[in-house]
Amino acid sequence: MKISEAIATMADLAKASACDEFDIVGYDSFSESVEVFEGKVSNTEIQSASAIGIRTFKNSRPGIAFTEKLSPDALKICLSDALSHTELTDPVLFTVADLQPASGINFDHLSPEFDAVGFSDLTKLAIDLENTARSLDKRIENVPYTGAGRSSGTSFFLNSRGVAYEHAAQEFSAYSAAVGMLGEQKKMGFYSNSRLKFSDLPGLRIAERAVERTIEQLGAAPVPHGKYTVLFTNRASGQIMSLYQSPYFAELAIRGQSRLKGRLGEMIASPQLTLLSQAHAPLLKGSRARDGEGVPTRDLDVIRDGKFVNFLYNLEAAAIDKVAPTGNAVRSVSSKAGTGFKNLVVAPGNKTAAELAAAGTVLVIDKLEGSAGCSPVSGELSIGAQGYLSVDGKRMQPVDRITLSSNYFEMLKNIEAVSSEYNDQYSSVRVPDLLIGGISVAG
Amino acid sequence: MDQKVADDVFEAGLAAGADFIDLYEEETRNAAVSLRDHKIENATAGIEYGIGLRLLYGTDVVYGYTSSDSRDALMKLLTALVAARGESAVGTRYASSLRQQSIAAPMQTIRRRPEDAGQAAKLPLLLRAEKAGYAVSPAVAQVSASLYDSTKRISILNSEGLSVSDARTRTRFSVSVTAEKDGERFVAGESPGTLAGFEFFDELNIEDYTRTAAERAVRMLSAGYIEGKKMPIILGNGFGGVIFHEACGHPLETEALRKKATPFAGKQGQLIAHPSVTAIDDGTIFGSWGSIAIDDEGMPTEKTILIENGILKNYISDRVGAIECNVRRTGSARRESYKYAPVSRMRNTYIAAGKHTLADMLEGVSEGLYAPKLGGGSVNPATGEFNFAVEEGYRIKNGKIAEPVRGATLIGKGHEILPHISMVGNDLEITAGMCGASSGSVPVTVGQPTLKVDEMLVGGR
Repeated sequence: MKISEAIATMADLAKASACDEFDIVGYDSFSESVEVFEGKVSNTEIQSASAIGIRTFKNSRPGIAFTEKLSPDALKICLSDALSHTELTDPVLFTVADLQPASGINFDHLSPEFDAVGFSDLTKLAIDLENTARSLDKRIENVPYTGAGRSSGTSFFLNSRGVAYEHAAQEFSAYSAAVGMLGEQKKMGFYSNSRLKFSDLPGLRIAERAVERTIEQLGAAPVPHGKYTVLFTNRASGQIMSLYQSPYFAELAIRGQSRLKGRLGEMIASPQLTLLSQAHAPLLKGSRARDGEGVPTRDLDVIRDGKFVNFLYNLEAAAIDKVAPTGNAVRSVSSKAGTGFKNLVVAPGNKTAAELAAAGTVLVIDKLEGSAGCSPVSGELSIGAQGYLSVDGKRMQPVDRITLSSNYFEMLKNIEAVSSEYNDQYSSVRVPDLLIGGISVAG
Repeated sequence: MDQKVADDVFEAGLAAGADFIDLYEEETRNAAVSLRDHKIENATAGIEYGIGLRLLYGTDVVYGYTSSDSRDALMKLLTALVAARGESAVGTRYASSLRQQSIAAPMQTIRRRPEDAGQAAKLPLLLRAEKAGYAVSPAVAQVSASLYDSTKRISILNSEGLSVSDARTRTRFSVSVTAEKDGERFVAGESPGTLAGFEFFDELNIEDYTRTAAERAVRMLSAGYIEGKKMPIILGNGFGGVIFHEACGHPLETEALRKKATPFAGKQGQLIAHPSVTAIDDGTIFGSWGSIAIDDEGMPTEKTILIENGILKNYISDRVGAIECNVRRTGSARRESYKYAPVSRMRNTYIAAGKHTLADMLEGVSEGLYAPKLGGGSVNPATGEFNFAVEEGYRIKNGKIAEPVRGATLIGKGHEILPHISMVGNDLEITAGMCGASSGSVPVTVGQPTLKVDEMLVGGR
């Protein structure tokens, strides 16, 4: 049974059942990829998957179930499971979304080249990338990971109040990782990217940039312990902002797990910072007309010139706080609805990263390692980092074996500048370089 | 899956040039109920189903999967994979010559099947956890808990005539406690799990685990910070083993070895760790969360000595890794689900108990860090660089455990740390966790006794 047929069948079953309301999410995905090593294809994969999840409401109690088996019997079992779960959960204040008008923009990202590219093209690209990476610098001793692929997927939503939404996306991707040696020291640089057009990938200089990232780290050493002004380049700044996005979710504030609870309208960051959930940017990967619960999305300021102006809401949190949902629900087939940015965007400043690092001593960080020491609940940040030390704009030495320690909420206030430059990733996270003072560094 | 259909797939695949073919059919049912803020907030269940088809051309892997067990669907997938290989085939091939071995011993006995117990049976257990957590202190702001069970049924058939099946039921309790005071918050958790049925929940001391998490969250509210620098570290038993798992276990997998992305390549038989260190990866611990009767290529698992008295004895291998790296196969092929080709992964990985006590380790340390509980971490096997968060830490001052500290991070390189493990305790404990790598997320345990590392870089403030 195809996924669209499965969704229609599930909807019919649900309408005929004892549930009061329901919503259904589903997906259908396909991908092909090759990985190469030492001139030969080491892995070839073809992946094709679909699944469907249903959330039912009965007497204001939700119940969730999912299945990857799309047969009529499996769908019946799935619905039965969901209904039985409504007898276990506690009542909630919300139900499925009403049918409301949403953006008429088509946010599908479909590639004109998708069907024309086959395994031989992916293989040739991957082999070329590996050969290039191996040949660029004699300090490169190994290129352990290189590959290319294409993927497509369609997500589906349907609820008992007539809300229906589909979104389709395709992309081509490639990556390379190179290991370089200087004496006893080994460093690995990695670069990956995606584009709608396969023909755009070679121009990204994937192998060259992987090698650059390897070579620039050779000879790295720690810096003395102390407090530093840190420039998180746009290779790392998005990771920081993504790690700490949950304090902006109303559902976390309601649970007492956000330090921003009760702080709407306050200056929580430097006036340099404007943070948005941007749902309607046609070129950005996370743009959608409706969220994971079928609620219409919108562009929303979260922090404007340092002032905290909006939480992000799903249906449940909105019902508790008695406000309108903001269209920021996220959901997989097997989970309850959570919250998320549509595209997490920090507005750009008006100076380049080089200009921001031009004066004084700046620790430029372009790689962060591990996030287990980062807590969005407390704001604690303790993370390994690599980069280089800059003095008056001059690159002095590559840096590694350091950890950065701070608190995210202090960092927001200590943002000295935001650059005018985004990285070139095809992504739903767009954050320029961030210059932040007062960060403890241990080395 | 029909054996005749499988045989047709094998015949067609071998005729098309593959050296070896296997089929992995899986149906997994999982179910969970969770509690938060005094409410049962979520109950969910689902079924995963699919068949993975792997072709080996020497050690070149071609893999795909389908959700149908019909002959048409499998032959269509085979055709697509053969065509993909035809388009992508470049380079030399190794001969494939491994044959199937003996029958596997069972790794679990189920006394109460989760599907018989039902989801409703989880509710009173969750309410017990909540009660125990809030009772610890007025500073406890939130208790969230969940009970999860999964039953995975697999069949593995291959072109060498293997036909085996296995069923794996796992159960896990997770609790997370948030403590809050004067605007400070700290979250601590515990997540025991096992390869067993619902009897695990019936017999589990839920209150003890919840209290442990709650007391740690409250204790760490008043923790200060440690200044960052190199110092002696005493790592607590149990989850402290995550450092060995990440920093040494992954680089010992043939998946890293075949890419020459490990500092341990070519070191078999050499001293790579302090002589007090013996490390093991064991799939045969009955009922343990990380155990398997057969691996995901159908090979019976084993207890693998990785390091013995500091000497590297074995790598962790799968079929492809064993052939390509010319090492012994260890029954370590694993995958999250049919959506992944199997690769060498860990099972229950631990440093064996030694003879020292915590008091032995503290003696002589004028300034250091005692880390009884680690959070997660990560490693780059190619360079050996790792980093870990210390969830609960204490200063060591003049041989004594002193005030609590938070926010510390440990960084270094696995192969550089191993020779500096100078004392190994007598209190081995293993702990359940999940490990993510190229074949997805798999259940593992990590473990160790309390260990002393003479020097490691601590990130702090």
